[in-house]
Amino acid sequence: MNVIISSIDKILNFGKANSLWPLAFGSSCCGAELLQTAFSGYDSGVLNPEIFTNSPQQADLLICTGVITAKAAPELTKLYQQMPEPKYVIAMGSCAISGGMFYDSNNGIQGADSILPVDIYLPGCPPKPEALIDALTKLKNGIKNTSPLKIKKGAEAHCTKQTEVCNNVEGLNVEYFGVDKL
Amino acid sequence: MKNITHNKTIINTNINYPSTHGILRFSAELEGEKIIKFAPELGYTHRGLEKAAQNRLFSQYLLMTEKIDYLADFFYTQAYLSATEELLEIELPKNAQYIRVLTMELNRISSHLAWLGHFMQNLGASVPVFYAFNLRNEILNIFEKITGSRITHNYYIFGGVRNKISNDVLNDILDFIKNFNQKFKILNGVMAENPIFLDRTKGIGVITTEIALPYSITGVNLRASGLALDFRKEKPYLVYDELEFSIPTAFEGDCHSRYKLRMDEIEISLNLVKQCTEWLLANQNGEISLNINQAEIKPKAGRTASWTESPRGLIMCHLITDGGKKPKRLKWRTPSFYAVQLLEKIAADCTLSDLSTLISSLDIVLAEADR
Amino acid sequence: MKTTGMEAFEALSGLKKNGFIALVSLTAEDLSPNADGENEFKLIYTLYNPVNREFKEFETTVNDITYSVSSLYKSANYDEREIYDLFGIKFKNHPNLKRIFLDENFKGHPLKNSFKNR
Repeated sequence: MNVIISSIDKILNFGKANSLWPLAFGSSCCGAELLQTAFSGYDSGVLNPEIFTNSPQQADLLICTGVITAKAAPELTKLYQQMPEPKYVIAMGSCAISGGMFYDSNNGIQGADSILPVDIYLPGCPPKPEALIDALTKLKNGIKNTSPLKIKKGAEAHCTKQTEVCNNVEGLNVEYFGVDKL
Repeated sequence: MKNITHNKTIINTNINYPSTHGILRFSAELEGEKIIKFAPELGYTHRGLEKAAQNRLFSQYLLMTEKIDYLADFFYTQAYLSATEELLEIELPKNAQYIRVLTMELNRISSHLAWLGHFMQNLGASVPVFYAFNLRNEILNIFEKITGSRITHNYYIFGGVRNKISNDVLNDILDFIKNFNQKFKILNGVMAENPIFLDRTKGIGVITTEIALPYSITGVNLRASGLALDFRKEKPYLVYDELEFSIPTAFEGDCHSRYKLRMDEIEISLNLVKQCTEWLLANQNGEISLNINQAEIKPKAGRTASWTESPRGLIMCHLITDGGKKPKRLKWRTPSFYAVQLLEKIAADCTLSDLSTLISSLDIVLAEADR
Repeated sequence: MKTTGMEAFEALSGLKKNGFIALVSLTAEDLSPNADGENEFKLIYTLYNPVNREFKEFETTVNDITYSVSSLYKSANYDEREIYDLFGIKFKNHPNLKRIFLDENFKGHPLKNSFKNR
């Protein structure tokens, strides 16, 4: 029985890993490097995904680039919740990992993992195109090692922390992020 | 036959609307396909750069000025340094001034190429994007040889620049200029006489000087309406009064004339890069910077403003100091802020299918409108 | 020089009749608390005349409320909303005085001297 499951796993993983469709959310300087990787001579289609969609219902990878602000956070969670399972998140750049050089602004969130579950962290300010291709390769190798028939479905599989935040959009208001609390 | 009545519909967008650099949310009221009211909303990339200046030393804030507009970052650093060097009362060596003009004009070409690829993609043509971004990649590789980084460079310092440009890199720049014209002709010839392209851009989004001046529009958007105002000639800074260049203008004021003016500006900037490279190959021996201690910068108390011409329009940096180690008040006047306000007025006359063309022909970058 | 809002409005409409039809930028600075213990701000207007290519600056000092010049210069609409958002100065006769950068539920005005940092 295990032999059958593991060979079905291999076929499903092969299909999923090699056809990622990203939804590019580019709001700042790292968005310019994302466009440069996709459109100039870095062998798009073989090494990195080729189709950047604009609609979240057809995407399964969210590349979070640029600064995330407290005003944009509820809208970003709505976009994430509209994507169908299974879905992955890459946090690109130091502003999406931990706030970056804007750590003390009034309108800021310290990192994308306050509101979303992140799979891969990619440091840099901005990271070079070769670094982005390296992160995508690591994600593909990680997908090939999972077993989709054995995991649970739904948000519990991905949300390692802050499950209430992922499922509850109305709970997000500006005061939660410490603007008036400190 | 029954009368067909139009009902009014209201559309809303989420933050990943595809035709902007950055996040611009809007809601529009439509009657049929025609837009009646258009209401944009800013603030989704507001990072508080003016408040951050009050908590940082002068040399710590220099790194944050590059992130305001990431496609044209040398211009913002130059605007900040113009204001502080005027209050410090120092004068730069000639070498440093020529190197700064060389890097700024190369940055102008790369910003216009990024605009071109984006503009064509919003019209639906998906091939010119690859040509434009490939050319831009060559310029970013030249920047990596000079400064060490592709997009945010950290190369200008108080009193000059960080290091010399060697003769090998200057000869590489001359080779790039020789090969550029042929590739640029291919890029130009892909779309310039296409009848669908001409149909979709001629006569759309007309701006006259009577509309533009009360909304305080500068740059290419104003020069396409007939008024030749360029702050490199109006209030010259660095060595622009020793170089030869002209200012192109147009008179129709629609999307097609803005496209044509930006293509002309690429060729004029290329000529300026050539003049600077030839001066540097002949005369570069001497100091690159005055050796100032970067950690102890204390300008005298006063108020000043600097005027710089960026690819999108006029940048002003207002600086008020009180003799201490941190600025007291720093304000940026950015051109995209006023372009969004003009968009609120012009979009009320066009159809929904022309909206992407209009937004991208005004060359709006939202990170500099929100600061 | 301390003026009420109406004097600045009349001075600017006189300048507009002389040909200064473009308001290039509008900045503000916080000088509070002044000698009486009240809030005091300085506003600086930069104007442009395209016929003889001349630039001019005009300064006033205000307390908390002043008159808006958006009926004379269209670009003052967004400028005055930004100053209300960051400093808290209110403008009378403004068509749409709301916050522009920060969220609607945000309490306080960040660039005022009396705002506590996080």
